[in-house]
Amino acid sequence: MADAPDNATTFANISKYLTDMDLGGLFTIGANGAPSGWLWDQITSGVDSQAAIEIAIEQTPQFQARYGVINDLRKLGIFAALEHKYRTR
Amino acid sequence: MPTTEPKPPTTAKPKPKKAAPHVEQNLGVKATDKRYVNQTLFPGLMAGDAGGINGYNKWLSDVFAHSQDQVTLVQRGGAGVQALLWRAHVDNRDPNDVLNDIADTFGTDIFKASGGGGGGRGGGGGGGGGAPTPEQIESAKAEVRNRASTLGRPLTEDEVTFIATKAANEHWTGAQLDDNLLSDPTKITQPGLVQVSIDQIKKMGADQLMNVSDDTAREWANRINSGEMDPTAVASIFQGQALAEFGWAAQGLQSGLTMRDILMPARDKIASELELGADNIDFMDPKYRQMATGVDDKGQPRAATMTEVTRAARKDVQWAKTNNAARLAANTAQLLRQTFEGG
Repeated sequence: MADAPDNATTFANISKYLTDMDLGGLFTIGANGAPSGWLWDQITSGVDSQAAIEIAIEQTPQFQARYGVINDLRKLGIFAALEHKYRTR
Repeated sequence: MPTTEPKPPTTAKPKPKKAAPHVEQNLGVKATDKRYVNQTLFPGLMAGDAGGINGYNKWLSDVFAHSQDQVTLVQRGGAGVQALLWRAHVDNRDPNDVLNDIADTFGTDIFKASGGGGGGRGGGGGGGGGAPTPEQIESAKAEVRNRASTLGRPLTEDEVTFIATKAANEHWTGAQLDDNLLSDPTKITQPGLVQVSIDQIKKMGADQLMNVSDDTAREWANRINSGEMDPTAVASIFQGQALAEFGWAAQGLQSGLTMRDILMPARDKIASELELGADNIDFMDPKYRQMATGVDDKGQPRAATMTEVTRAARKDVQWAKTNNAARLAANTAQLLRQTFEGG
């Protein structure tokens, strides 16, 4: 079994990353160090593809509240072109 | 106590001066091998013997109840003879061959009553009426000590003398001696046959995910040892309770499996996920039991699928501390970064 600090560090990094993205609610760490939240559910269910993560995260209320504009642009047919442009730069 | 002289070997074949090779072959190991002769409780019992400890206990009880010849031999030869007799029983050997082996290994004096030669622990006397001879009382004392030790009943020397004298006077059978020694269960305080039976009963219960109190286990153990109850009856009781409690497992239970058997794959999966030894997963703990149980579309309990077991194990707080959790979390974090940052 890994030392607790190793796991704790991994979890803290994930939490910080999502917090920086304004999506901190998707992965929380309790006072006892136990993780929880949407992303933890993905981890425990063994999600193993980027596509699955992408589809699933876009369904979350936290993502829709923070990045709802993506859906709006997608409806207008603009987002796909922008996404292609910036992701492939 | 009625005692009869063990019959000497009936086949006249030459006696080698030391243990003949065939003794070792037939027994698998020398009768005097310390590896098993020196076992306190089960001289001769070896891993893989049919019936295991249960079978050994039953055999020993039968010997004490029905075979005074063998009891006398054990009294004279000790654990070595007991070990050899058990091996012979396991191998279903011809009694005459066994007696020859005993003579080969322990010498023919073992078949003679003490008095003339050394080594004997005191022989029995003929049954008959009248007061028991000192030899008969000594023989009875040896048997009382032996049986008390086997049953886990500590006795003072005065108690040994009292019980042995009474037994010799009244010509007790082995079963009567057991009844006397087991009459007060609170006095069974040392590891012995009863103690083992208590553990066995508790284990039989645990195998069916049933808690058995010490009192109940002790009472049943005493009844088994006194011949009033059969271990299979206890097993049936637990099986019936398991059927009532775990109806979803009825098919397996009725085919002779225990709940522990049925849940073994789930236990291994939980142990693997939590990175624990399988022995650490005790289904008497409701937490683990719930991990191995699902609910069907009618709301009835059923065996969980392995996928459900995996998910349930990963919901346990312990899983977050495993290497597996760290690895999967890191992988998922990488997928998340790729989602937001491309790549």
